[in-house]
Formats: sequence, structure tokens, C-alpha cells
Amino acid sequence: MGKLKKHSVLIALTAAIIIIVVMSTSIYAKKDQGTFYVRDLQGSREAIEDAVISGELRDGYHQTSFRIESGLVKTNTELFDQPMYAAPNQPLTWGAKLINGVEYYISNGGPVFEVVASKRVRSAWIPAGTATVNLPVNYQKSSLNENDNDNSFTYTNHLEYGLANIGEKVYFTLPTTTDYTGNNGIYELKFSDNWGYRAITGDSGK
Amino acid sequence: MKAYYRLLQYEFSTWFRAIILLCIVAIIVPLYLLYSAVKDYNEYSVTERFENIYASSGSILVFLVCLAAACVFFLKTIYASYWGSKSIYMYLSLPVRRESIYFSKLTVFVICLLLLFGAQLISIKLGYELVLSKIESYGEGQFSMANGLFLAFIRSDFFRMIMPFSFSGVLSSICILLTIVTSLYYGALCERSKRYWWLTVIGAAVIIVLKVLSYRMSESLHIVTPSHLYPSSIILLLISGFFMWHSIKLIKNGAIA
Repeated sequence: MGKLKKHSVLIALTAAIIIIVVMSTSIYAKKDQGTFYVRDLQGSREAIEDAVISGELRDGYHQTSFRIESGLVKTNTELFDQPMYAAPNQPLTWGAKLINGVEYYISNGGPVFEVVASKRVRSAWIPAGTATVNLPVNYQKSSLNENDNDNSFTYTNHLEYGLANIGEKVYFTLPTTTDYTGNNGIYELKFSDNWGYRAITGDSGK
Repeated sequence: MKAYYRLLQYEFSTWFRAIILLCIVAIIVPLYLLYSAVKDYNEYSVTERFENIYASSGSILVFLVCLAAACVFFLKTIYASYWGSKSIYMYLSLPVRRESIYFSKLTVFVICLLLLFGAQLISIKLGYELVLSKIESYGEGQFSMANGLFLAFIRSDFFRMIMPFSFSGVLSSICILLTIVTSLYYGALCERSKRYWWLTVIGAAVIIVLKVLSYRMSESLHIVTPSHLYPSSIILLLISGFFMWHSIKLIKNGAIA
């Protein structure tokens, strides 16, 4: 006991270092203890044997990428060095679509449609560009109901379903019904600065 | 080196009882607070995340109180050589290098703070086991969060300060610890040697430490990179270096007698 007391400072130092190191490695090792497994609910697993399903589950602080291949699940968890604000993947308003982290908002109206692209700065969406599409379509109401004499339009779907992207380019087409006459097309959107309208688009192809 | 080690051992023997008491407090009191926070949980109560239970039960305050008590005890060990037996004269007349006197006190304080950190980590782990066993005891365990301790450590700002998992975080935490330790000792030495104007540098250090702490408590709301912490860490290292150099100079001059 006397020998221990004579060197108590070294014992205290090693005890403190051991505790801190053991705790931090055990907690860091827990990053691989998240539960990811494939459970068969209905049907046979061989049906998806050739398909590779991959994705990631993340919040602002870490992400777990998983890969399901021939029935086996492989996961890989990594911590972010810098915590980020976890933005939701779904835009919160109708008329808006999130593509590649930029939100595109289509205003509803007329034969001229305006698409506003907004980027996220801190926690707000700041408009970064506008594009307008002028479609030579006419809406002819074919219903014979005389009470419907307002100037409303109908579409087959919400307007933002007409937005799509290939790589970096964004395209728009109008989801029309059979009541339309004229030319519809797939337009490539060219965005300009916020103020000042530019004339539109690319070619109207099918 | 042998003289330094003997001084170290002597200083630690004066600290021993205090630090054991503080570690016991840091382990036992949060366990009791967590127990009283979750003892009424049942199937119909809203189950919070562990880090929110930990914060709202006041266990973070317990850690800060223990840290403050350790700092006060450190100041007491410095001032004890001036009251009562005036052992400062004995210290200055020892046949050792004056740096050993400075570094032995500083090192013992750092070792005791490391012991406090270790006790805090043990208390967090035990507290988690306590809360988990309580949550699993009702509703067939369907309310327990999988891997909750790991998620608590990476999501909570307080836990990320005492155990960071990124290099910039570790560097920043070490710099804050070093600044607190050296500035306390420097303040006491300046006051004892009646060089009061140098205390303003401590003010600058306090401002920087507070800014770093307030940034790290809300890290996810800023859009920055990890290297954002490097300038403040470097400034804190420079300030600590200045404190160490000037303190040794004051001791060597004998100005503190």
C-alpha cells in the first residue's frame, strides 16, 4: 500500500487515460451496431436476387449507406466531420419539386408558366433563377355543363410532375388532358437572373 | 526530472481527497437525477431521447459545478502557500528549477481534470444503462431506441464537446482545457505579484473561449467546414503559450513572493 501511495499520481494518470480511451473506442465501435436487416414478409427472396438495392439513411450527424445484394445486407456507417442541418427531402408546398438539392417552383396559370429555381441558404430558400415557358396550347372545355363558364384550366396531374431532369438539365412539359388543342412539347429550361425575363426555351420536341 | 516527479507526487497528495470526492459526486448525483427524471415513465408518456433526458435532469449542471469546484480547489492550493505557513518561501528556496514548481502544479491540475472527465464518461454510460432498463421495462421494450448511446454522443452538443469524434473537435476541446488551466494559474500569479494590467489578456482569452463554446453548442445551424475551428484553436494555443511563458518568468523573478 505504501508503494502505491508513493506513486499515486502515475496511477491516477494511467487510470484516467485508460478510462477515456476505453470509453471513446467502445462508443466509436457502436457506430456499426445499428440494426439493418432484410426480413421476408411475402413471396420468395429469389425474386430480387439479381437486383441491387442501395441507399443511405442519415441525419445531420452521420450516415449509414446500405447495399442489399443477393439477399445480403452490407452497411457502412460514417460520421460527418461537420454536423449539417438535415434538410427534408420533400418540399413542403404543392407546386414545388426538389431536384439535385435545388427546388423548382411552378406558378399556376395561363399559357405562360414561370419556373423559379431556389437554392437553400442556411434554412431558407432563396430564389436563384427564373425560366418561363410559353406553350402554344389552347384549352377547350369539352364538357357541356353550362354552369362551368369560368376560365379555369385542368391538368392531368400537379404541374410539378411535368418537371424532370437528365443530369444537370431540367425539362418541363405540361400535363395536359384531352381538352387541349395545339402543340405541347418537352422544353429544356434555361434559367436567368431573377429580374428580367428572357425569352424561352429550347425546341419543342416530342 | 526526479525533482519534478517528487513535486508532482507531493502536489497530488494534497489533491487526492478532493478529487476522489468530486469524482464520486460526478458519478452518483447524475444517476440519482436521471432516476428521478424517468421513474414515472410508462407506456403513455412521451419517451425523450437520452441526451434530452440528460440535459433536462440537470446532469450537465452537475458536471459544470464539479468543474468549477475543481478550479476553486486549484486556486486554494495556490493561495495556501501564502496564508498560514507562508510555504511560498520554502518553495522558492528549494534546490529545484523554478519551472518544475510551475509545471508540477499545472500537471496535477490537468491530471485531476482528466480524472473528472473519466468519471463523467462513466456516469453517462451508467446513466444510459439506467434509463434504458427503465424504458425497456414497459410496453415489451418497443420504446427503446436502438443504439441510443452512440446516437446521443453524436447528436448532443454537450457530449460532442467532452468527447469529440473529429480532429478539429478534439483539438478545440484540448485548447479550451489548456486555456482554462493556464489562465487560472496566470491570474493567481499576476494577482500575487501585483502585475494587475496583465489580467486583461485573461479577459481576451475568456471572450474567445466563450465564443467557441457558444458556436459549438449550436454547430448544426451554421454552414461551415470543420476548419472553422482551427483559427480559434490556434489563437487559444498561442495565448496559453504566452501565459505559460510569462508565469515561468514571474516565478523565476521571485515576483510572486
